[in-house]
Amino acid sequence: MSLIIQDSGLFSIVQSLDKRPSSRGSEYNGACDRLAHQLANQLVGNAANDLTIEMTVRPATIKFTEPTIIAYSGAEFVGRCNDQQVHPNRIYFFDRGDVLEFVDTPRGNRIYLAVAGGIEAEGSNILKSGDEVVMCRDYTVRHDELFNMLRNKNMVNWGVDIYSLVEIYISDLFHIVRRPDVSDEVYEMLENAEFTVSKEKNRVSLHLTGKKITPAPSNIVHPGIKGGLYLADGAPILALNDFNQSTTAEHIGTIPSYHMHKLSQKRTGSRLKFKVIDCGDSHANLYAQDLWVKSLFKAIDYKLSKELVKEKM
Amino acid sequence: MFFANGDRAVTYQQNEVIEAAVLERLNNAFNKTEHVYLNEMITTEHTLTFMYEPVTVMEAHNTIEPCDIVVEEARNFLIEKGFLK
Repeated sequence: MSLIIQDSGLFSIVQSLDKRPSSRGSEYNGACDRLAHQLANQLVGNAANDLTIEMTVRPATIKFTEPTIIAYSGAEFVGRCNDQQVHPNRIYFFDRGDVLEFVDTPRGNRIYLAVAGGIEAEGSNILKSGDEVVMCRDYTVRHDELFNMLRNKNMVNWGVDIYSLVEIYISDLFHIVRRPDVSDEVYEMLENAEFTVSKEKNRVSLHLTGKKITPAPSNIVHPGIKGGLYLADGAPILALNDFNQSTTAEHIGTIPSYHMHKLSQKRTGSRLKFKVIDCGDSHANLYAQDLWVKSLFKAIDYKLSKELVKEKM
Repeated sequence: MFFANGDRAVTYQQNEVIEAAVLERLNNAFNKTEHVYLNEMITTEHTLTFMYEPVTVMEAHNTIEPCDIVVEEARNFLIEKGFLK
């Protein structure tokens, strides 16, 4: 028994948290929005690095073939199942035959769906309509308790409020860690301009339109680094997780990892601005966000434990 | 020159092309060597980029400036393998 992908949506893929060795056609280059991936897993009691289903722009329609606990995080897509609305960052129980569909959202780009006990792809990790996703059923005591609690009421009546994540996602300003060999004039041009996402190559790159920026040519072959900001004929291109080839496009800096969550939620038409910072500042910001994420996950654990204790009494 | 390439990578870059045979030798050596903080090396004909997990370095050294520690490890690796003097 498994999850059946009735309609694969625009682009759905089984994805890992971090890059892992994988074969061509089934590449695990990590979740674009690592926070949403971990948050969904945390809610259903999985390990943070368990696989999730990453769904972009138009999420998949999923049929459940056995009792299943799920949570999804990321963009604000609202789901629907048996005339009930399904919301992000909450825990739900679905039974055999239930079908989960999503309604489009004007905000955000990707969601990450975690299944209690874990999942794995049957063949290629890129999901097509009709594919099945294998449920691993590596259930822990926490999972058993969750199943017992949710059999009667099919959802937990609390979740992570969208407003508590606003600081992470709701901003169009992106930090860029400066390179020592790029002139201040280039960074001034970058900071003074506003850009619009003109297209996304799935998980590879975001292409921006706006003011053209022309640094002095260097003839250097640069590595493709996640978050890298490259200039092709003066137009900025931002590298996402699958941008793993070298390029002669000029590299002028890299977005720190703590802003990659919100970058991966930008879609065609989204606006972006840049602020150039030093590496030291990026690490201070990263550490602050890391502490915040740890405290959020502790709060989820505490809330869930409290709920489970209440249920037993 | 070495520089911070975002918050999770440091890159060594030179204007002269690094020969393919040298890149292959360094890649093999990187994969066979135990590293403290370097997770992965990505090479191009002008660059060697070392990936690391910054929070691990921060917590191990009680600092929020992990970059110099990682650059030192990368530099020592390249010196040890005879690429840098």
